[in-house]
Amino acid sequence: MDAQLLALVLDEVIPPTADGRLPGAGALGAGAIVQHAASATPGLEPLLTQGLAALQDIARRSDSGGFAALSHSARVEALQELEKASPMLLPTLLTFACISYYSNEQVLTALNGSARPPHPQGYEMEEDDLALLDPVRARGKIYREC
Amino acid sequence: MAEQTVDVLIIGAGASGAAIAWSLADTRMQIVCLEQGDWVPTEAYPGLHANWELRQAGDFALSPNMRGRSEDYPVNDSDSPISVSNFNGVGGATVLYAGHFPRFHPSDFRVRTLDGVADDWPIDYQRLEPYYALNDQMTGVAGLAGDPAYPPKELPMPPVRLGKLGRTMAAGFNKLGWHWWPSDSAIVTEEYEGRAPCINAGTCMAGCPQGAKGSSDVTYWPAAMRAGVELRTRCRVREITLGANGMADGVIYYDADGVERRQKAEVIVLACNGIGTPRILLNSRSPQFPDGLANRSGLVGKNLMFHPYATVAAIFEDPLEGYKGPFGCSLWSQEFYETDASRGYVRGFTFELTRGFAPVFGSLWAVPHGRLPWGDAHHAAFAGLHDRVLGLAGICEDLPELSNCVTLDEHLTDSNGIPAPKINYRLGENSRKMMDFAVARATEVAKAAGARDVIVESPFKPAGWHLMGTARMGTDPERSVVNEWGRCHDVRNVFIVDGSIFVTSAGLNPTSTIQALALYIADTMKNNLANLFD
Repeated sequence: MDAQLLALVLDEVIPPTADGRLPGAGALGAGAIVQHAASATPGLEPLLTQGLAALQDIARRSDSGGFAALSHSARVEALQELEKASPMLLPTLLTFACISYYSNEQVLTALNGSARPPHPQGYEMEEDDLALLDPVRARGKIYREC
Repeated sequence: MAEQTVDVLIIGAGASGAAIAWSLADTRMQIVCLEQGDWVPTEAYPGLHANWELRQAGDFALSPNMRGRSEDYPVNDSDSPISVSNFNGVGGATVLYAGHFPRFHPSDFRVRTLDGVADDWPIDYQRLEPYYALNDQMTGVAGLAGDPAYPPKELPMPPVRLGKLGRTMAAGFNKLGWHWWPSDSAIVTEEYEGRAPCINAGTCMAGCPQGAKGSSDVTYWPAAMRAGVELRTRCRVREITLGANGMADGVIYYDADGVERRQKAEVIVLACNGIGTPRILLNSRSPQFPDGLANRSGLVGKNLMFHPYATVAAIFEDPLEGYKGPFGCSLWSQEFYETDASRGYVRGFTFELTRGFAPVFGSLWAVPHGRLPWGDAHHAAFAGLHDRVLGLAGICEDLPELSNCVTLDEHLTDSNGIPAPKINYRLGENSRKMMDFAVARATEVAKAAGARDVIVESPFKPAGWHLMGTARMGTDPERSVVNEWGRCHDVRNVFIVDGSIFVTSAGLNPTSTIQALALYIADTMKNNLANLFD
């Protein structure tokens, strides 16, 4: 599998954020998890290899340099064309991209302010006002006697 | 060791095995428990590690087929719209459960009399009530007294916090005038019996390294072992054997090295829940029981009940702080619990609220629902979902049906070569109508609470964690497997104490009732020791 091409595609699947705070999924290394999954999952390797080859063919119709030579908008158009021909490929790549991207320390820090695991620190929660239950109490018993 | 006969042999160290081991320990009998899994060391829990979410799809997955540990047995559930979830280790499925701890209602024991379906239980709420209370104390249950959906009961400590997410939905229930109440939760909210309180980390369903969640490895087992019960881990029972007198005389099991061993016993207690228990009985064939031990009724493995989960994910405009607090426990509603024939079905369901998804699961949930695209729109779509989704599950009562069953797979085996269980299950007509009603009501209350959108999953496929009915309790040996105190009709020194003896499923989480039953059966055994087999 062409790792460079895969990284470029993943950068379109989850692109860099508009504010530049986060790179795309390819730049953050999502390709590694895709390659690992492809080696461990029957049928995934050919889907990806054939899909990427088809994408290059589509791209080369616009530029002999292939997908890497295309502009962002042209890459998106190429992927949209590929999506019509191979509808499973993009959702599959998006799934793996999400697994990688949303477990990445840099992304988690941007989203949550921290990438720490939930334990042992946990989270503070404020006390509840159980007067919220007043209308429930006022209605009275609702179970069946028997 | 192999030739020594112990007084009581318990198979399975989960919720029910732990409870009965602790209760029987005061008899000073020699009690051994064989558990096919192991202890989970605190440091192994995913919640302590940055990759905790990913491990919920790996070595801490709910599905044994996905987890694939050597101590797991595979389950062929390809012929079921609901997949089996469990955990094989000390504590059993309580290691990964949410900790919801509702009791059955009094009406749940009288289903035939009240609603004309299924069967009444041979015991009632009043019989179990003291054991519910004892179990609450042993487990450390948090909750708020005064729930109008229940007869009066006391709870050992204050409820878990609702948080912003819980209060948001509570306002929706109030707007519609519907019942809701803080959940009874097997989660300690203050220091309790040496256990530290919940810190609201939200990783309950990947295990609780804090020890706040009342899994039976931290509740009953320490006390049972202090009282002298021997717990042997990594010991997988293949079959129960019969002696010349027609009584069970022991088991054959495999130890951690895969060596076949035998353990003799005077009394055998099955505590492997609704799949594991019939599996062992069906694997225990003999000339006297060619269709499996204690199966003269033909009901071992039959009447499998899950709880079909009718779920709605509600999406809100504003953040819900859903990452704070126990994942599955905040509030429940039993507005639609008791039968109302005008709804087009009988029996009912409990609504339970779940907190939000963390980023990986949130994204993986959104992709197949078409809510998270690839490309330039991805980040805005993610931002519109992150910490803005909560779950509302209608836990629907499943009625027993003979065709829903556990059998032995002809080809699939576990790592010791023991035939694995196969599930045949279809949703009944009553369940389908109830689920449709539950989805409509969940949508209604979510909108009342301010949700901008909902996504429906009904049934929620991974929710096969409540496993009941496959060795049902009753007074008639032709129509049940065990009597009214868990003793097999056909083999009087074999007892069953887990969810398989449920006559009906009720519309709520079963662990509180499973453990109350185990304590009740233990007490009955102790009161009848002189004539236990008569």
